[in-house]
Amino acid sequence: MDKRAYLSRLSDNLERYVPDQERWDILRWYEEYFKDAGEGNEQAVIKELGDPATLARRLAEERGYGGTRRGPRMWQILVGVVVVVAIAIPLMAFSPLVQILGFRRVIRDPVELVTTVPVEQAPSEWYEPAPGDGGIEISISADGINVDLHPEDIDSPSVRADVSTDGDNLNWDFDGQYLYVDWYGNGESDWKAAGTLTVAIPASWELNSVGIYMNGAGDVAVSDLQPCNELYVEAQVGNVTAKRIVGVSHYLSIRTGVGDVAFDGLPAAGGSTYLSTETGDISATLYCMDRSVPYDLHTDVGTVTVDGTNCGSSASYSSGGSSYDFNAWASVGNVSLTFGQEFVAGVIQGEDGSGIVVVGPSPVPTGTAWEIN
Amino acid sequence: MAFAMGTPLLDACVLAVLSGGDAYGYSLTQRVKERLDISESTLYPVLRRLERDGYLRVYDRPFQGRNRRYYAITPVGRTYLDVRRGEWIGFRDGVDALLKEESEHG
Repeated sequence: MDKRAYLSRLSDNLERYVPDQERWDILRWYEEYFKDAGEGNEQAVIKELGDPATLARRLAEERGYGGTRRGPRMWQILVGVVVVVAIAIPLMAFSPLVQILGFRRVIRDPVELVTTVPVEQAPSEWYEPAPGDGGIEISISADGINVDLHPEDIDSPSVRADVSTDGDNLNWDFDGQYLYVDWYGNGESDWKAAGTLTVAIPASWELNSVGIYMNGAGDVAVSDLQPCNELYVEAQVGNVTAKRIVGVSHYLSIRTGVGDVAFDGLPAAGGSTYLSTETGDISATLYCMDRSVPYDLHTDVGTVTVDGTNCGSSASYSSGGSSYDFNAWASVGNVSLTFGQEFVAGVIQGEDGSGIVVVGPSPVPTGTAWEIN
Repeated sequence: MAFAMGTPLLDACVLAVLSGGDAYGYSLTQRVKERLDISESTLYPVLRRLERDGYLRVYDRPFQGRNRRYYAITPVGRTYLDVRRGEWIGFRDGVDALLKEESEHG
């Protein structure tokens, strides 16, 4: 039996258990495995992998498909709930880890602000979907073009590429649970592309996780995203704009290497919110918070500007003897935080080149600049 | 070996390898197998699960006329790895202490 025969038998056996998309993914994995092992090692790989029928059954089982071909079952959804809860709990319980993630340097002594103003009512904008309630996962990977993600009230996902070269490299698949959009260049060093990839998500979709990964140079824009558990945006060289983001329930992370981050919306209710850039400015317009929600905003070279005049109260968040609600860090530039009267944080901590400036919250009278250094 | 390699541990091991740099399927498998005698020859389900949970991401890069699929750890993957690593150290120390105690008394 050679490689071709092995993969063919694996494919035949997989067909009995798993959907086509999964089968193609598995075959791709093993085909690549054979190729990377080298032609001379074909028989060794076949021996290592064992009987293709047995392998197919084991793969089907481990991927959650039973003895017959079918979609995900109820227990998988339940497992999904447990997994998401398992993620959320460590993220909250291990806040020092979260802190380490956002801040790698020692932060100077935080300044205590008033912590005791009760929250009278939850803001009406607050939305909190149940954790791990299934939903659709979106993964968008692009290289060197702009990505624009926004929902539209249409029946199926719409992917539109308006790029100057290599449009054939755009692939997207949707199997009812996962939407993958991949756009990548041909890898040649002189490769250049320009244009915009627009992904419109039906407003009726129930989203779980949304990830946008910009591998090359390009901007990312996300707007009016419907409720979901997680939103990740990672760019290398480019600006990230996230507008009217109000329904992310567990984890919100927006990062870029070189470029500005502009955000307006609500933080992730049950987890953490990170906005960071290595070189660029961060500007955030925050709406309401009805509970303790950790924020991390971080730039190495640039400024941090927060307009929190529409923020509600925030209770103290504490873990392991330290507490913080809000971290703002600019290694070189200035930090400017402006909060409305109602915003009361347990601890606001941060540092910038000239000292943090906090304007607004009780007990600081409105309009007073508070310098910490 | 008499000890089972549980799913969380295998997840953590894969993420630990990726925390040292992105890898493609074959190289990742070899790097795990260098250290661990895993009879399960496939890491495919592990990678798909980690991808689904947002702990790693996947991207393709051209290599010798084809696209090779690479795996990279995400920030939340690093956090997860730190948590698992901490749990493992506690577990390992507990077992170490017990086994040592038994051998000293035995």
